[in-house]
Amino acid sequence: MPIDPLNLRRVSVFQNATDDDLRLFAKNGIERSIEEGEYFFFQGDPAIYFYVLISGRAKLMQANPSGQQVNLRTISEWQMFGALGAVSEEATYPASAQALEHSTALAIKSAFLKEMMNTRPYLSFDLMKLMTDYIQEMQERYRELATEKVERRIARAVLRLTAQMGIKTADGNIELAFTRQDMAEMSGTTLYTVSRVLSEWEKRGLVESGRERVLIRNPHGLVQIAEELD
Amino acid sequence: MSTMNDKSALSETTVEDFLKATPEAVSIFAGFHTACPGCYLARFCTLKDVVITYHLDEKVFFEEAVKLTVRKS
Repeated sequence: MPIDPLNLRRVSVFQNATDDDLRLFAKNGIERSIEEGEYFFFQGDPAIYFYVLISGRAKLMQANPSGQQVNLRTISEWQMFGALGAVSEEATYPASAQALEHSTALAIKSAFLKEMMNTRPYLSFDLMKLMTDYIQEMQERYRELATEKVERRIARAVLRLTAQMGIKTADGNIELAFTRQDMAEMSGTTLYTVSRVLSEWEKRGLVESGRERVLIRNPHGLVQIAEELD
Repeated sequence: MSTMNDKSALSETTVEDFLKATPEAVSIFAGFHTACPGCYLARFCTLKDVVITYHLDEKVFFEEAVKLTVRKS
């Protein structure tokens, strides 16, 4: 079913767009639905399209030359991803985008975004804001990797994900869906360490952890670990 | 946010909504030595949660919060 173009205003880069501009983007987009585990694009492919996730969840992951994967970020509904081609014509995708569940995205040619940016300053400004957020997040993660204890890194990664996609339950806990492998990649550690830390947290009553979900029972306890509060 | 200037409504307001409507409230959180402004959980925690979590004096905290919202409205 075609999307309502005005829903595109939920995308941060389009928050200041006119209704007509939103219609133009929707008209120039192609809806792509893929199943869990399939890819919207692969690392190294020419960045011809940028994407807006309409439903589902996806992850951006980068592989090093020996094939080891690192999860860069999780994409939620109405987030834009893969927009590098709009600012650099020869760009290739720096990461692969894999669906974590059945997902649908609107694919729009990066060249079209670039063309629109020439006459609409709000697009350049809002894209710059998105990139600044990404840079800040990466700087923070780099600092964590370089200096912080692994438990703290995992707590911060869990809280970052919570802020992006946590769901508050009726009894005041927060539910979060992720696999331990995702968490290991996000916090730059091993699956074994994530399991050990989650078990420890479970013993302390901070979380209740399932196979692909975690129930945060004491959110402030995680903040205390992440921020080293007393 | 017209309902935000009484204690019962405020206690169910999230930290995120409170700070959006009343950015000056950063000074209240700082005064009570909480880490709420900028916290990843700001959209989940209500002001009541803050009082419980940080063992704050409920009466004093809400008096200050209400004072700020009344002054604004």
